[in-house]
Amino acid sequence: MAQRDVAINLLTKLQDKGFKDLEKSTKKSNKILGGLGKKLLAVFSVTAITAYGKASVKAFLDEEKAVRRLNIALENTAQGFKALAAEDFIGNLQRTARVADDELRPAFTTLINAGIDFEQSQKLLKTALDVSAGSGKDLQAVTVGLSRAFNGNNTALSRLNLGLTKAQLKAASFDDIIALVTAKFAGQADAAAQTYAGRLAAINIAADEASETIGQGLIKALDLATGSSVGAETALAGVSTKLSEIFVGVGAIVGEARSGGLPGYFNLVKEAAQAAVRNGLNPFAAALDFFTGKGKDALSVTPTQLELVKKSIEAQKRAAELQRIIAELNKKVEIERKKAEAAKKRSDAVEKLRKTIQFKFDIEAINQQAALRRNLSSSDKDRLLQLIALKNSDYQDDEEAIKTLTRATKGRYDEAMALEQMYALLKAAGFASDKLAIEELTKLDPKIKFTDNLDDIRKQLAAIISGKYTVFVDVVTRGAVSISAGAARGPAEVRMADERRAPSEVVGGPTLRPPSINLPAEIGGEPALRTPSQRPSFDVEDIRGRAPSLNVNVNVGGSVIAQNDLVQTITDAVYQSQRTGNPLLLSEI
Amino acid sequence: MESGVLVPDLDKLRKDLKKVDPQLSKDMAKALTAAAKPLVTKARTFVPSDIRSGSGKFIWQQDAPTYTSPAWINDTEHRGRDAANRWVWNPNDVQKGIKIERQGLVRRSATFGGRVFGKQLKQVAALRVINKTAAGAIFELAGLNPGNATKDKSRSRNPRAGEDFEAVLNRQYAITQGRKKGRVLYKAAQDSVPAITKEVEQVLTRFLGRFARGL
Repeated sequence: MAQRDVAINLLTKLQDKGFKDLEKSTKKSNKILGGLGKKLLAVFSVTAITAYGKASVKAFLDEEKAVRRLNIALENTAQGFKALAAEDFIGNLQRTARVADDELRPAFTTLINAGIDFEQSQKLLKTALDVSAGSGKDLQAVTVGLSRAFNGNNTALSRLNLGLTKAQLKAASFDDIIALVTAKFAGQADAAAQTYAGRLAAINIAADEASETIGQGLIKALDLATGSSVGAETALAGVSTKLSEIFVGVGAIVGEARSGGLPGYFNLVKEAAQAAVRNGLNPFAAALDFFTGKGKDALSVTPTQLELVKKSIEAQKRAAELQRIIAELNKKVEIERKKAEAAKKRSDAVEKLRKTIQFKFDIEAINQQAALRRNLSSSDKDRLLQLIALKNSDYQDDEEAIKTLTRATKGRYDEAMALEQMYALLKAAGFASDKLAIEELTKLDPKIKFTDNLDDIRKQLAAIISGKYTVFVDVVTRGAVSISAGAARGPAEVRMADERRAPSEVVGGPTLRPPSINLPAEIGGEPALRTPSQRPSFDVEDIRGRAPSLNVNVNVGGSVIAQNDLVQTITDAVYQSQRTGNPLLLSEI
Repeated sequence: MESGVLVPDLDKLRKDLKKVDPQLSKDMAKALTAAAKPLVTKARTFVPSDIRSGSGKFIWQQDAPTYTSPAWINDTEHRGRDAANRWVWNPNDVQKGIKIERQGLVRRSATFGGRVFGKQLKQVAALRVINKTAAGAIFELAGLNPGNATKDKSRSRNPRAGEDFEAVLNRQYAITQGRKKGRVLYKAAQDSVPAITKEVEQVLTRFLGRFARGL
C-alpha cells in the first residue's frame, strides 16, 4: 500500500518524470497558463511564430485524423449520415464542458465502436464527463469502462473505483449502473467547468481551435502556392518565417499608426510599389518587402526599450518602498496617538481625584453647605443653591458642570431642598443625634448629592431607613420617666405600635410617641391618606393631663457645626412635637 | 485527493517572473504562503491537549514508556515501535507538524478537468498544508477503516488494542464527514478550503496581471 500524506493541496503543477520527453510535454503544457510567459516574452520572436505555424499545421492534421476515425466508425455502424451531427455535438460539448475536442472525439469514437447507438453514445459521453470530472479519472478510461460495461464486462468499471460495490457491479444491469453513476456524479462536469482550472481549459481550447484553424489556412495556402500539399512540412519552415515577418511588420505599422502615422506609412508603401513598377519589378513584392522589413526591425528589442522597462521596474520598487515607509509611519503615529490618549486618561483621573479632595476641604463650599441648613427664604435658598452649583462646577469637568448648572437654572434644587428637609426632619424628629446620623450615613455611603434625582434620593433613604438605620430617641419627661421606646426600630414602626395600643393600656405615666414625620410612605412614613377606621383615636386631654409639660434634651455629640445648626435642630424638633399633639409652650423651652 | 488550483507550468512561470523582476517571484511565493496560513491556524486549534477516554483515562500517554518494571524489563516483543513518535502524545509537536509545504509530491496520475497530460507528466503539489507528524496523522485518520489499520501489525499484549484505540477515538473524537474524513486538518479544510482556494486564485491572477504588464 502506497504511503499517503495527510495533506491538503492548495496549488499544484505538472512535473516531468525526466528530461526524455521534456520538449514534447512542454509544447503541450505551454498551451495553458505556463505558456503565457513564454508567449509574452517571445511574442516578437521569429522562432516562436515559425514554431506556432508548425504546431498549427500539426494540430490541424491530428484533428483531421481524429475526425476521419470517427467518421469511419460511424460508417461501420451504419450511422455515416450522422457525421455532421457528431461534429456539431462535439463542438458544442467542448464549449460547455470545457474539454478539448481532441479528447472528446476519441472518447465518442470508442463508444460508437462499442456498438452503442448515436443518441445513447451522446448521453454516455456526457455521463463519462461527469464521472471523469468527479473522480479525477481519465475521460478515455471512463469511456472504455462504460463501453465495456455496455457489453456486460464490468471489470473496467470496478477498476475505476467509482464507489460501486462488487455486489452492485455483479447484479445490476447496465442501465442500473448508469443510473447509479449518474446519481453520484451528476453536475460534476459543469462544476469543473466553472472552476479556475476549467476557465483556463476554455482558454486553452480556444487557443487550440485557433491553432487548428490557422493550420488549416496554412495548408490551403501551401496548396495554392505549391499546387500540392506534398512537401508541405519542408516548405513550411521558410514560408512561415516569411509570414511571421509580414504579421509582425503589419502589427508594428498598426501600432505606430495609432500615433497618427498611418497615412505616412501607406504613402511609403505606395512609393515603394510605384518605384517597383518604374523599374519593371513586381509592386506586390515590393510592398511585401516593406512589411517584412518593418517586421524584422520590430523583432529586436532596442536598448531604449530595455532601459524603459528597467526604469519602470525601478519606479515600481521605489513606489512600493515608499508605501512601506508610509505604512510604518502611520503605524508609529497611531502608537503615539494611543500613548497620548492613555496619558490624558491618567492625567484626567488624577485631576478628578485632586478636585474631589480639594472640594472636601474647600472652606467656601463647606460654608455654603452649612448655610443651606439654615432657615432661609425660598428665594435665598434658590440663590444659595445656584451658588453651590457654581462652586460644584469648579470641581467638575465640562460635561458634568454643564449638567449641574443646567439643573440649577431649571429649579431642580427645589427637589434637592425637599431632600434636605427630609434629612433635617429625620434629625429634628429626634431619631438620631447629629453625630450618629452623620456617622451612620457616612458608613452607609449613600452618595447623595443635591444634583441627584429626587426619586433616586428617596430610594436611597428608604434603603437606609429600612433595617439599617439605628434610631435613638433620647427624650426625658419631667415626670422622671425616661423612655427609649424607639431604640433600634424604625420611626414608623414605633409610631404604629404605639397607636395600636388602646388608651386603657397606657399606664404609669405619660406616653411619648415618636414625633410624626411628614415622610412619604414608601420610605417609612405614614400613608398620605388614611381611612377613618385606620386613623388612631386617643384622648388628647388624657395625655395632656398626664404629661402637662415636656422637656426635650438634645444630646449633642460634638458634631454640630454651628450654633445656628443647634437652634435650627431644636426648633424643628419642637415644631414636630407640636404636630403630635403634645402641649408645648415656647416659653418653656 | 483534492488537486487545488492547477497551474501546469508553474515552475516556468516563476522563472519568467524572475526574469522580469526577481522580487516578483518571491512576492508571489509569500502571498501564496500567506493565503494558506489560515488553514494551518485553524487546523492547529483542533489538536487536543490530551487524549482520554470517556472515563478520563489517558489512551495516549503523555510520556514515553520506560519498560523498566519487572513485568516489562525482559519483554522486548510487545514493545511499541518508534515509541518517541507514536506512543507519546505531544500536542505542541503535533501542532508544529501542521505546516505549509511548497514542494511536496502527490502520488497520482496527472489529470486536469478530465484531460490527460501524458504519461510522462505527473501532478505535484506546489503548495500544500500537511499534517506531518506520525502522531498527528494517526490522530487524524485512526478508525477511518475499522479493523484494517492495525491488522497483523499490532505488537500489544492486548490483541484488541488497535480496535479499542480506534473505538475510543471514534467515541470521543468523531471523524468529520466531509470530502475527506479527518479530525484535524481535514476537519479544518472542510469549511476553509473554498475560501483559501479562491484566495490562491486571486494571488495568481494578481501576479499574472503584474507579470503581463511587465511590472
